[in-house]
Amino acid sequence: MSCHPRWAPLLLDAAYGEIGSEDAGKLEAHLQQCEVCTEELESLKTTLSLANEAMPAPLESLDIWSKIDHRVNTPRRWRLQLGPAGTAFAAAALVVIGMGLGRLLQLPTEPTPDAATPVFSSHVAMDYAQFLDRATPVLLAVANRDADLPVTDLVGFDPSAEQRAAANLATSAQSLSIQLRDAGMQREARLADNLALVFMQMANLPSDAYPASLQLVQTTIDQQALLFQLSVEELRRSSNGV
Amino acid sequence: MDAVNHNDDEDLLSRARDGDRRAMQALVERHQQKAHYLALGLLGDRHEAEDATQDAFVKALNSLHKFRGDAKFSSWLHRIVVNTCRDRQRKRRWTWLPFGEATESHLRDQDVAMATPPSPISHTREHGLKQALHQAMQSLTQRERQVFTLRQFQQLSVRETATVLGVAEGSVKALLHRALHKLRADLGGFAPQEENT
Repeated sequence: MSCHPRWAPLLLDAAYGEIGSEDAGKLEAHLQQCEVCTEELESLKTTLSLANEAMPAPLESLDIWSKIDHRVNTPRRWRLQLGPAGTAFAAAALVVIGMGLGRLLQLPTEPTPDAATPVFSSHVAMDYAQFLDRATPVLLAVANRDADLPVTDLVGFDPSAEQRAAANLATSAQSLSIQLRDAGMQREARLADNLALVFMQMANLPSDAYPASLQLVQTTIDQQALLFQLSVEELRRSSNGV
Repeated sequence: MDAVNHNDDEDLLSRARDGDRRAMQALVERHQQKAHYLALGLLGDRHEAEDATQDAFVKALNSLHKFRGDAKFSSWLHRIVVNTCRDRQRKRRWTWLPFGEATESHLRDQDVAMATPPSPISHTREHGLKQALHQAMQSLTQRERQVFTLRQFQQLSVRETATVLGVAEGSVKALLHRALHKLRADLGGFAPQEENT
């Protein structure tokens, strides 16, 4: 212990060799006349020296990255901003606002035969609904996959089967798009076109670079906000009872 | 452990925030040794320290958008390592072996392999000294251990230690002083004879 608490911080700095020149001068003058503090300083230096000697050396060979690679997310801007819960909430809010506006603007006229017929009762609409049911899980799987994860780390993953499925979905989306346009369902046709583009990208990726090159597809999914559109579609379908 | 260039960190951080996984890997490789050594000082077990280091890096890389650049990246990372180790200790309690129960195999795990085989006498002294430090660390409070480890294992300055722990510099000095007094009781017996008299 130092003779007075005010010397303790300076003794510590001196023991670590981090004392300023002005303080060093003051301490030196004090030590010449104080045996307690001189012993305290020697004791601190000895303790530090012994602690240094006893400390384990750091490991030279560490490979943290290979062990955490699969746990680190790649940030994707719009998904980061919204998140899955945020996306669902935004989709729900959009539908509610849309329905509210629709009702507000609805004129009290007799419904035309076409308008009275639910959109999803038509044959094309049913095909469209079935197509979305097939497309959504594939799209979700691709969007959420870590493209840098080695294929061997994906349990039960068969890249060639996924690419074949994508090719089939692309063909379905293209023919469906034509039918939807013919039925006057322009919005649905545009979504089918966008999905056709994504599935064609997937199907045409070089198989040896699959799924590492999926980032291209993930970018398209993000840019077109396809998961958001699919969420809206699902909400529309459930509100229409399809 | 080489000094880390702060400017290089900024470039890597910028790229990592944009999702560049090579930059993330480079950041990890650049800081992993210091982070692991800090965890080792706090936890006292190499395997536990490696797990904690992994967890800390995952937390850091998945929260890069929260790093504002007010402090150095290494300080921010050190704080995450300290908090991760504290959380692990809360879950598992203190992982150093109970007093007097440090075994040969456990100490071997703690120690680093020496480049040349030691003489029997020096080995006995070194073994005892390591065991003594091992035991002495038990007598420290969590805060004292954090301060001692950051200063001793990481060689951070008082100011850097205060930044990492979010405490005043005066508190760092007081905690360090207390820690050294406690350690002195266990390590003093290993001091060279002339310094003991």
